[in-house]
Amino acid sequence: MHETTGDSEILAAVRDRDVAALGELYARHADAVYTLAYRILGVAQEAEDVLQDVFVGLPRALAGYREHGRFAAWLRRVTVRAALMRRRSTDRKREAPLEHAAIAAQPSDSPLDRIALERALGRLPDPLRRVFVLKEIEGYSHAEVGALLGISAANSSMRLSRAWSALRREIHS
Amino acid sequence: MRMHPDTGRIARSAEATTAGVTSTRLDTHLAECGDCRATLEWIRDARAVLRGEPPLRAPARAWSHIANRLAAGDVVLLPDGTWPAAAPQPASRRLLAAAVILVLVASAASAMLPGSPLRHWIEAIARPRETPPAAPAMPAAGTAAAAAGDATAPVTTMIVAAADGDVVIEIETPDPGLELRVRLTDQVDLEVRATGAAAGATFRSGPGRLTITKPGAGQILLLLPRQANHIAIGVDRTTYLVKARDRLQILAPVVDTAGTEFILRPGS
Repeated sequence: MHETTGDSEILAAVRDRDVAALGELYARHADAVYTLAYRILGVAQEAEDVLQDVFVGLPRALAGYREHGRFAAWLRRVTVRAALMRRRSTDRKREAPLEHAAIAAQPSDSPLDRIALERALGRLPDPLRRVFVLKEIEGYSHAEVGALLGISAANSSMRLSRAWSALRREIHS
Repeated sequence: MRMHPDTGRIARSAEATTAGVTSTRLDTHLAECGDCRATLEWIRDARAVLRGEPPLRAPARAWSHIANRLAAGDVVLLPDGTWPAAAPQPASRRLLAAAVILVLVASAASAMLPGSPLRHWIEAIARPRETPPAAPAMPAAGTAAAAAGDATAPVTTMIVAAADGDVVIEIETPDPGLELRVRLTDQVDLEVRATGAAAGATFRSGPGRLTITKPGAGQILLLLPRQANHIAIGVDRTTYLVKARDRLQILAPVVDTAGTEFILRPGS
């Protein structure tokens, strides 16, 4: 989800409820929002719900947006928090994790079995997977992961360590 | 027998090495142990694979759904995207603690000196004073907060009139500390009483409909009229309770009961 130079003009138009401008923003950021939500939730339908909610709520949310020039990072945090809130409300309904067909369709040059890795990641308990995704894939620091999840940085580090151990066991079991 | 560090420890080591921090004991073990070196390599490969994946494609139908929802006036309140205020770093916490100790020591030393204003002040406040007995506080009448023993807690009360006998209540993004109490009554209309931080939620109502957004860690009491045809209560789009004529169905775990009330914790 990289920063795009023309975002600021579009943001002003989206704030004024310009649907075409929102469509432009969607074209730039939808894949990243969807991927992030999907990695946190592990269920395609729920990730799509988050994607829709984020873009439906964006015109209103931008009224409080003050981080000029850092829209992509701000949108990423909004997406993480929206996905975490959805996860909390739908924990009991969880489907088979990370089953998305798009993962299987992507070619890989790595000797590691990418699909097996994604599936193993999907089988991790939620508290471990969330930390793993945010730290190892999204690149947040432990302090930032802690702030997003409401845990300490030390707890984030401990969960990451346990996630790696569990991931390795899953892959080699 | 040689003890191997677990994968998590090796992963932490890989992270620390990237940051320029090394553990001599672990490095020594890795230099001698092929299995653990293989684990380290596996971690690096797995990290590279997962970080290098291109984003998934958002479903093609999603944009048309978004456009339809916007056209229908759908409102979504998104969570805040700003970072919370930075917590003090350990070093600055230590400095702060040292400064506080220094001030206390200096104050104590000053209070020991004869004629010190601080000493006079301490003696003045230490002297016993006669005060008239306080008048008993008047109880606040008729509020749920008073019933709960907290007269200062904020209270929001709403009446929701049914539309053709139907009422739908949607609670969005409740705080984990929110307590939801449900009671059947002989009232004609549905009544909602929010207390504590729950009273600071956003309430939007229409005929037969009430949406409560972001209720904080407090209590929401729902008084459901027995004679209503149909009442549905949902939390973040999950149905928690349905009352259809004489039948009350609770679809979420009831954490407790109090008299005729059911107690739910929708945010936990």
